[in-house]
Amino acid sequence: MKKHLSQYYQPVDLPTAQVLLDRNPRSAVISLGPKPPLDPYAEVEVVIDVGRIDLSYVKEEGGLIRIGSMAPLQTLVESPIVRALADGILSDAAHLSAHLGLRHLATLDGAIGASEGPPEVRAALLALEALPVMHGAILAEVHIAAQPSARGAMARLARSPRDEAIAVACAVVEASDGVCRRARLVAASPAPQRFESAGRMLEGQALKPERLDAIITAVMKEAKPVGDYRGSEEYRRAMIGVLMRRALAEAWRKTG
Amino acid sequence: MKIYIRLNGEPKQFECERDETLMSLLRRSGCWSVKHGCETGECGACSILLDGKIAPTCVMLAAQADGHTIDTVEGLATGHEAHPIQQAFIDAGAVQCGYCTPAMILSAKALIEKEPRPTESQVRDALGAVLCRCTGYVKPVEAVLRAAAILRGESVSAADGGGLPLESIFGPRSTAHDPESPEPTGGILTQVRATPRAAIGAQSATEVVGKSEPKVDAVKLAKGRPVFADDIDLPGMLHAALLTSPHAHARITRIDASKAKALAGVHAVLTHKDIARVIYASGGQSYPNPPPWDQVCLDSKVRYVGDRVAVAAAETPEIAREALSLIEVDYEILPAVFDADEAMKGEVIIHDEPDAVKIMDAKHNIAQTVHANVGNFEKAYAESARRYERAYTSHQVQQAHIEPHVVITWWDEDDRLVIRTATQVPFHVRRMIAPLIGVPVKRIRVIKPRIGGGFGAKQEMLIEDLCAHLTVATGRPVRFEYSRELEFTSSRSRHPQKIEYRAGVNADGTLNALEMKIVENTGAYGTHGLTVCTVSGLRGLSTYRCQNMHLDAKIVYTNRPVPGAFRGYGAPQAHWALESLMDEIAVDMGIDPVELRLKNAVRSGDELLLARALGEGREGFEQFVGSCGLADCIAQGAAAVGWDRRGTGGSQTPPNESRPNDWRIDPERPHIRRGLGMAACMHGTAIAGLDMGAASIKMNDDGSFNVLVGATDLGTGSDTALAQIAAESLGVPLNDIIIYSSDTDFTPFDTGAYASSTTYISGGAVKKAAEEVRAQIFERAALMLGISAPTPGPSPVTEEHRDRREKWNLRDRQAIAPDGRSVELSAIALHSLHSADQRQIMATASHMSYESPPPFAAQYAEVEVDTETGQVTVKKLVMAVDCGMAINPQMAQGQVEGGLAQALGYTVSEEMAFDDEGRLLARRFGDYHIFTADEMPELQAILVPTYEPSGPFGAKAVAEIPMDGVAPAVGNAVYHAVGARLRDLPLTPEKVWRAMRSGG
Ligand code: FES
Ligand code: FES
Repeated sequence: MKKHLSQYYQPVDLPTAQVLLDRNPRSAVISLGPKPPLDPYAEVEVVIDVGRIDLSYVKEEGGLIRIGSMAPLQTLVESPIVRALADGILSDAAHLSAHLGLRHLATLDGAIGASEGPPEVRAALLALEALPVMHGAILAEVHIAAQPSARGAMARLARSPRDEAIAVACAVVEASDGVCRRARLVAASPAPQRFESAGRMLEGQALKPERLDAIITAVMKEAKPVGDYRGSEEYRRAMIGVLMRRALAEAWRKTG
Repeated sequence: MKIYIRLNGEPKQFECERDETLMSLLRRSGCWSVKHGCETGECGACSILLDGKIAPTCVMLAAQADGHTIDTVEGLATGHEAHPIQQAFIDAGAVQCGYCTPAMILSAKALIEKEPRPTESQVRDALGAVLCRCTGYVKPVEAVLRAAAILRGESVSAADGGGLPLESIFGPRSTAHDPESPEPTGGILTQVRATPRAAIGAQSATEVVGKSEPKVDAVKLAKGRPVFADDIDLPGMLHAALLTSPHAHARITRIDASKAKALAGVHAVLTHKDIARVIYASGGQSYPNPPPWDQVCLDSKVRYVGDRVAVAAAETPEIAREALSLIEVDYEILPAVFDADEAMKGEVIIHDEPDAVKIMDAKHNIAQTVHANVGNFEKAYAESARRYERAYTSHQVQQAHIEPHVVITWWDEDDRLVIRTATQVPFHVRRMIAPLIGVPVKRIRVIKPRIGGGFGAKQEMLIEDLCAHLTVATGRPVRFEYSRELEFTSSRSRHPQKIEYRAGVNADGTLNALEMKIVENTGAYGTHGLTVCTVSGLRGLSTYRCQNMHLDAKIVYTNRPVPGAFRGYGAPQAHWALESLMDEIAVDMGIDPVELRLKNAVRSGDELLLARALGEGREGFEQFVGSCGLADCIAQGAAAVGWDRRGTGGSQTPPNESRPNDWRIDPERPHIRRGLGMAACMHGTAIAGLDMGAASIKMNDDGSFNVLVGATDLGTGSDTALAQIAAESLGVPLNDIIIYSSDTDFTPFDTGAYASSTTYISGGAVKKAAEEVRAQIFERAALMLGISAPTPGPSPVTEEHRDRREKWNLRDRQAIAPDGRSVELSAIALHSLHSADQRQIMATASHMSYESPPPFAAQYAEVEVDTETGQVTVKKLVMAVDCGMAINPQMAQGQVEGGLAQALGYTVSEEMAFDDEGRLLARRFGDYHIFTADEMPELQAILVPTYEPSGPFGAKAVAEIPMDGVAPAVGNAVYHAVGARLRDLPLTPEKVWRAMRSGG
């Protein structure tokens, strides 16, 4: 870690935190993601520890799930509210993102703000259409509609079960009477990407094999995978197709 | 700033810098159990309980802990007491090197407090917070389940970790399966089963050897006491930092450290201009080090990304790193080459320095070559009924021990240089470092404290020289610790090899001709390159009987980071190729793979034809197979994995959907195919005629004994095994032995911990020394009893003299005379030290062996292959090992389990991947990824006892063979599952997917 940080603040409310953040362009809120960078404060002179502000909650109010930005990933794993959301894809995503020790330290904010690393949480949030609630430049909380009829599934590929994913696909489907009302499809390889038009191809339809093929073809065409040593771009594109097919089929099966 | 923490139940105030990590604060406050393994929160070694929850401290600022509660293992139990969880770890054999143990214990504590009746999967999730490179997690999981039961107040059976009394297997046995064999006991996923076999040299019953005694160092490790190299603080200590090359191949045309030297707090900056140029080889190997000698401490040329450029010492690590950023370096960038075949074209010359010694062909980057011949390969190959030509490649992987390389050097009060270092080879370090720093051997003392794993990477004088140079330059104590990134970029690794086999097979499946051509990539320097490749050749051409063999190996320089010693030492590469080849032959000839191996495998009495040609960088000695339990290993492993599911011959075709009962098809998951694969393994035990160990044993006033060994316990438990050998020989319980390893000032010489030699060689030395001490004890007892003493023994003790002594006995802390009278050892000790004809009862003995008795093993793997993604999921690994008589079965099992976990990573995921410029892409645990507790397959380690007459109490080696068979067994299982033959490690999803698409 960088030495000679000039200030360390522990504000007790968000407005104060915001003032402190605004005051110095080289300031940052302490917020750890599931894959901490080597020197997180390399460019920072002032750190703002928001640990005294209550931002670790998970609440459900009036059909809205509110998750405090500093909720540890392990809270997302354990929260019954989050677990009940679209068959627990966000809980599973948090669990897959990091080991238990890091899940106690890494936060929802850290997972969202990470530019690299495990993509599962970001993918699940996109699929759940989570909305950020900002307080100035600080993420205060994330809102997710309760969506009790939504069924979700995540499919994932990695070199070993706990290794960072080569590709991830999430599908959240709402259906009634055997007809899809909404489908949200997200894949990450490695950056999360939402496939809105492919999702719309299912709306008002049942998931028949030909429809599924067409959706997967559209997803693979639209996907923007980036190759690295875990898998080439060509392979990742193919895997997005395989995993999306599995996730969507599974989510659809659950709607039945 | 001031912060307040409730630390281990006590409210405490601390002064810290704003940017100090919590790990740093805790360690400097005396919580030495908080270990450094990385800087990114990924290894968990630094974890504590933060408000009751496990959390890594290296990624927290100390100030973040203000107002919180922190628990470390220092607070679990005070004094000599152990907390029940600590005790469970000790009893279950869950402590190997112990570097991860405090964090594991804390994670277990948090889990059990939250969930008193945890499931295995909850335990694995909790232990997933901490990487362990030693245990394979089998025994830690067992320990947590055991601790939870104890804390619930339930009674638990004694944890002996399995194992059988040595005497239970004595006497002739002839049938394949003995229904009277005691049932296996022990681990939740493991078993130790006695197997009938031909008896070789039955011995008398033992009291200590052959028992699963707790490790002698387990208590201090479980309590997190300051026992590792970095667990001390010295007044005035400076901190070192290393500047490494950003280029794969470049000449340093200008280097200016003046600004760095001028920085406040900097005490020394050294570049190639400051250090005498002395050629050496960094591998910790016997004198004279095998060629080539192609390194200097700091050079004007860099040969890989991560190579040494300069080193600085400053008052804090941060200032030292800042100093590095002020060093101005101009590089003339040279073309680089990363592939060994390309390098041999000679378009780039990596070692053009005139003073390198014994490089075979520097113009073509060939460091060394190895050749050997038996019979007439070409003729036999041409005459063979079936001929096979196959090429297999293996990759570069990292040892990834959790404790980084760390060394502290200082001048003592007598102006002698003390080197406290995490090394496997303290005596080699002392000898090798002396000419580099210009200090004679007699003025150097090397101390090896506990080591947090090494796996070969610490069989290297990797950083001791630079740290010593800094102490010489500054006169101050200097601490030099690698960061995790440096461990990946600038440590050692496993040699990648391309192995081409040609095999000629007779119509009945017997091998008639076998040729192995190896091209080994030794990276920028040749350390260990020759000897690793020699072992590859030996292992690749020795497991099976064949009268016509040819070996041709080239060890080639490239601009990759430097490989070195890594557990298995060339054998895993060879086994990957050989055991894949055997599977291919079996498939082609329609023979069951087990049958093919049994038909060809060497057996007791066979000469290993290549052994004489292939020593450690020199000629070796003739070798014969003595004890051999391979057939039993194959049978027991097959039973454990359910090999008969596989059928014979015909079932090697891919699964057929039209056969719905085929167990390889999962109706619920149509994209999954299952398969079984196996491999036979044969390793070595020490380097014949070269490895040497010595031991001193001294009797104390109370009849206890100090055992001083130069052998280097790097977490494997060798101190315990050696202490058991001493205790057995001296008729005392294990806790009457105080063993110490190793310190070049106090312990006798030992070549060090490598080549699976410690139990066999150093154990032989302990046994010899103990026999000398026995003789002295009998003499003294005879004097006290007024009877004639057994005549003083010659040295070494002869068989005749041993016979005479056998009328005397040492048992239950007593010397028992032939007439049945006895004297307590404590009385003997007091008499000899204080009463009459005073003398210190003590002896020193050395041991080496011209034999290298091979341990054998059968490796089995069950896999699932995802036919749409290529993902290979290993479901079960079974290894049945003939390691002779296990001195400590629980520890031997632990070695096997830990080795299997490492070999699994080698097979499916671990890989040092590079970009086009030779830069390593995975430089942290998160990217490199070693297996965690919550993703391990079922592991089963079966010990198949044989009695090795040349080993102490019948022992052979066990530490390395678990690395050998997993890759080919998994590769063969993948073929069995989906019909795709992979010949290039690791078996990543994309490679398997492509192989399936191309029709295998
Ligand atoms: S997790 Fe902190 S040292 Fe590795
Ligand atoms: S015992 Fe776990 S790292 Fe060595």
